[in-house]
Amino acid sequence: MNIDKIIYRRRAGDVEAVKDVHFTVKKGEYVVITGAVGSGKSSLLYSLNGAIPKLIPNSILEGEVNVMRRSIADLEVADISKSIGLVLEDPDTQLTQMTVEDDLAFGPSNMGLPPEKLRERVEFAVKSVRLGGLEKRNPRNLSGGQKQAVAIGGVLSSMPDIVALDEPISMLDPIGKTQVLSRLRELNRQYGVTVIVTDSGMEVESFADYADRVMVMSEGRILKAGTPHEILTDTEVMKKSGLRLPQVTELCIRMGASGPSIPVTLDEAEKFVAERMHGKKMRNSLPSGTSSMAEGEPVVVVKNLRHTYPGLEKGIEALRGVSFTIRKGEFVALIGQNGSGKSTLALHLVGILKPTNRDALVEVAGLDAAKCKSKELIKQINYVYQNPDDQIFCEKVQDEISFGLEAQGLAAEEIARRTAEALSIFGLERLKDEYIVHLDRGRRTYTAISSIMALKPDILIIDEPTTGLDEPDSLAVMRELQKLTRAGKTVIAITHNMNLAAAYAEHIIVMHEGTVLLDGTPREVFAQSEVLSKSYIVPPQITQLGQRLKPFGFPADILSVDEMVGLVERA
Amino acid sequence: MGILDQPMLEYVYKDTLMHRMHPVPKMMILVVLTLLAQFYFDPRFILPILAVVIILAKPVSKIPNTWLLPMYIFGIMSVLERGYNAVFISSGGYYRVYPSEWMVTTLMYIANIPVLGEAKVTVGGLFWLASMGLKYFVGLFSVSIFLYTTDPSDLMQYLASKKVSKNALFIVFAGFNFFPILLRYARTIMNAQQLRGVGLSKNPVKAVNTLAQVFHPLVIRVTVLADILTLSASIRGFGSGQYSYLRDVKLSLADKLIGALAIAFFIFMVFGLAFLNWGAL
Repeated sequence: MNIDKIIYRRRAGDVEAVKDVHFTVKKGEYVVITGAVGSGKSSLLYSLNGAIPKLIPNSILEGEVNVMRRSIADLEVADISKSIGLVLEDPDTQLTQMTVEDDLAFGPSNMGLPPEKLRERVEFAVKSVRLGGLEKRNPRNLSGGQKQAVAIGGVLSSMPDIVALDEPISMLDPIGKTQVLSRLRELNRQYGVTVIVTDSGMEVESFADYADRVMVMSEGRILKAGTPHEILTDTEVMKKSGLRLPQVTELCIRMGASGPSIPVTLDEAEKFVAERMHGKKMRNSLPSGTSSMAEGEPVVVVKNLRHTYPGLEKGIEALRGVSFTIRKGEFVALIGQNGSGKSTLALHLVGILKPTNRDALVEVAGLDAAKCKSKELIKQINYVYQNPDDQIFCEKVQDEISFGLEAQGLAAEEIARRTAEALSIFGLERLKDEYIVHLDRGRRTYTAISSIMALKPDILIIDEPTTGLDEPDSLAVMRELQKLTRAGKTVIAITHNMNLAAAYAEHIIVMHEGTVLLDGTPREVFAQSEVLSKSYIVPPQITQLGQRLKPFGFPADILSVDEMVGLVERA
Repeated sequence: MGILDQPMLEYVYKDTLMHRMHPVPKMMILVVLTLLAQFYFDPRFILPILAVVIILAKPVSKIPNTWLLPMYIFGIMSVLERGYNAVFISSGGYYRVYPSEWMVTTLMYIANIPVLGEAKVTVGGLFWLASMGLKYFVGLFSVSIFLYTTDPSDLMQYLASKKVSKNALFIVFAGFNFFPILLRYARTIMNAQQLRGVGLSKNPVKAVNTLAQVFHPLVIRVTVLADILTLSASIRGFGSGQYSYLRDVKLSLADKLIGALAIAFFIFMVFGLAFLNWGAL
């Protein structure tokens, strides 16, 4: 694939979203394109298979894209798809069929393959993305992560020469992420499939394990391209492009590593730290109680909650007797594999879903969520959707934030005061009169969160608060949520980002197949790697490093680079 | 589970007789029943047809009422709308079977409306309204049975095996995808609005106001839906060559027999309609 000086504008007169980009991808390469949100990664990816400009009205693409020595300008997108399989960021836009197996077969069906070959391709895709048992389900009824797996499988089943994936793992559970990336690597190694993946930098730890080459984009240009090691150890480029270092790289740099010896993988870091620790033993363990749950009054009490969705013969059991308690002021992370029941559980807490068993108890701020009127319940608890576009109704930012306040019938002065206050949370004041459709994903997420924060619920549920956001935006969201808990509010974040869960949560509930697998502090939860793996969760990279270094006396519940550095310094 | 969280107007995988039936004879049976119901005006003829489609929909296909809810709403609204026409049916010339004197009997006089004429409730008008309601529900149940029990992929694969054009296949593809996606959008928007304090009120004025608020974001989404369907189909190679099929959806002998019986039944009933006044008022 050869990309020659392409420039892309969304419409005539617009600023270039991609500026003078040129590079070549060799057959069998595994390339990661990374950069902050709005850096031009997705636009670049869409231009590789002709979706830009052929399927995006009014868009303008200059320069040339050649795939397998053919200019894509002369081909239809449907024809190019035989060579390049594109996986979109939002899987909902990519699902076309009514059952998973039909969706997986859709691509190869369009190539006219005979039924027996189609069957083989479907089986291959099912295994590749772990969809066994879901073949007859409607993909639109699956969880976000499962839908993403179907979208990826749907492209893998076509076995194109090049697979291009736009943020393909952002909605997957940690082991799901590893499995998809491993499978892509396997396809890349075994079959010579060229892989091009975009990533907003939330998964930097994975780059070194899988990629041959990493390209960093910023403001539409390629800032630097090189091996994962060259990129991940260039602190200046990483910082400039709004990316963080892998936890182990940061640790080793702080421990004095420099130049080509800076570790970028867990294995390299284990070796590096082990060499530094030679002959030393941990003198101090982590102070107990540094990560403890709040002791306030219970604000959410759930007992024996069951929920069965209609479908198949006996329905689909999403929750199978869930019980837990959340206390006032806690920052709770609700984690678990895709389809484990996290979102279903959250929708019960806000009264959108009702239990399907009569003896269930869902008590929220003293109210029975199953019976309480929605208007009463939302004064106590509210929910921010994973996809901000699901909850945006108005054209402009300010109107969106005041929408819920007006629906509650508040006085005009109060609406104005609360709207101004909510706009200031993420610095949206200067965008208050902007059309929301023109904002990037980060600003739309900020708008969605602010519109719920304006309602001032005592308990806030936020579904995957950092999906689609880059590191700076993600940290901004998490800091604001933390501020809320310090002000006595309770926050429940549904997340697949273990680094953020470890850094911000005081209480973690791990869901597994509709039940609570673990319920405790981050230390208690992340120390149990083997139990966690049942729910496809892996602890943060730094916790894993500590667990590998157990022979040196490192504890199994290290949660941050700072803690590890402190322990090493005291050794 | 709330009503809005049920799948609606889309295929649901189940193992029932109607789910197992080939799409073509199934469509023929349902089309025959729907057409006959449209041809007839005597409720005594339409009622048995409605009974058959209800049996096919409920005990045979096991369609839950929540899935049928939009159909019920649409049916009731259509009947109410037709009530407007019914009050202007007062001429005895419409009737061939029932005594016209009895059919034009006025049960309730409403008003004399300029241009439109006298508005009144007559026996014949009620018969006509009843038959219209029954017709709607036969049609709606038939469509529901087909949507609920037919995997669109089966239909697409059968059509592909018959070398149907790509454009026709795209229409089937888009048609089956459009309404479920639309309903999901509407459902998500209504749930999100409920969380912002906007709920469906029992007060019809407030309810209409709420629906208007759903309408705006829904329109925005619908405008991009066609583009999304085109994009999703194109990037997966739809339209690049001959479409092949995963399952062999050939017509069996039983399927062909059912289809032939449906056609024979249709011809027989149409004969009765044309020459024996079957189903006329």
